[in-house]
Amino acid sequence: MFAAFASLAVVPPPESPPGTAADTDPHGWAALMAAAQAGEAAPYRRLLAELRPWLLRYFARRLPPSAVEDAVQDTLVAIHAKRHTWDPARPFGPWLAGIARYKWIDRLRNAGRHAADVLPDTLSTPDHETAVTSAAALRGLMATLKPAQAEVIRLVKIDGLSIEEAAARTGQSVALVKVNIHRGLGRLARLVEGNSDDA
Amino acid sequence: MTRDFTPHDPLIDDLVADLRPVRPRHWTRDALVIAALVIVEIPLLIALRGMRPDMPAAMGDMAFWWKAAALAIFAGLSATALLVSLDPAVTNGPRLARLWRALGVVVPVALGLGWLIDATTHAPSLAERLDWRQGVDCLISIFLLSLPMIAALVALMRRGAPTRPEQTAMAAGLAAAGSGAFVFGFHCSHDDPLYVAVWYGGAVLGVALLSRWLLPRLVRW
Repeated sequence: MFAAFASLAVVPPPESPPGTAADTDPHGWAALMAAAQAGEAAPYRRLLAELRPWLLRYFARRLPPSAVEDAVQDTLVAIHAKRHTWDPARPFGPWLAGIARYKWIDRLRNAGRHAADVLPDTLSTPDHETAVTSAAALRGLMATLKPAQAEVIRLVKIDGLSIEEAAARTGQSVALVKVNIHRGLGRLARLVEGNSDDA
Repeated sequence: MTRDFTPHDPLIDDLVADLRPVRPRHWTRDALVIAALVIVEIPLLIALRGMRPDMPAAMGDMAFWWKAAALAIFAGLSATALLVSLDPAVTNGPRLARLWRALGVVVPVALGLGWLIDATTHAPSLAERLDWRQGVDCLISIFLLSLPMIAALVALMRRGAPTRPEQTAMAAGLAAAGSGAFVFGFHCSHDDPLYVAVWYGGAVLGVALLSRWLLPRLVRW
């Protein structure tokens, strides 16, 4: 746990969520959300439209490219469904970051649960270089995993190899590749969950 | 009148179309729900099972107050941890971490104090002190008393936004069983800290582990 904590320092600092203590509401999002809670459509539309690119950047750093759009949509729906849980007396940024991070962990867990299913999604990313670098935060976290787990996650989830190809490349059996992806991603999810510095 | 310059995204259109006014959640309302349920359970238990027969005498005994206070503090801290954990803004903040640490301190301190209070007053054998027949009754009763609270807490969890569902579920189990144990204290005439640690502690742990396992499935969002 503590080792994982220390190694998280290699993760590039996340975009600072707007509305943290130093800067309470630079985008005016808190005011927009307060209006949305009162049922005003126009400020709500503006808020969601402004949150979208922020979320795209947030997830682009943390997930393989093919998973980013789904995560953004999922998070927008969650923000909608849970909008009453934001306390207007408090800054908006930590609340937003908390939800985005929950959805990130959720994605990591799901990807781990369906080691093989997600494959077609992540296969053949057109711009391989972007795929690898854009999941920078994810890669930093992976440094904390066992090498065998990190290797197959990198091959399958980021480089887009099939399970069989990853098995051939690493010398692990197909079953072991699946197990290592499942365990590794599960561990990543727990790491993110246990680390309070991310938000 | 400001012009709508935002690009049209079908999802955003849907969400905006679905917008209804909401009342922001405040933890004090949730806390009132929990307190009300505890207050309802006490007379209900007394009506069904009766007040402990030695109540007047017991109230002069330090062990009685030790048990009531320890369980009340334990349940209160757990319930606070639960309520705080329903706000995504503070789930990873220091406030929640402090509450968990406080719980980690309260339990051993309470047991230690109980042992000090008890060390001079008890002589009978271990089997007599544990009184397993009544103990099993305690175990089952606390479990049953925690069920309405679990149901209420699941409703609160679903309305809130727990971003660490396992931890929140654990807190819910501890709070429900802790309050159930506190309520059951009005009927149970055992104040022996060993008995409380084994049977009350067993019930609390059982309910907490069950919640930890079951509740996250019910509150996914």
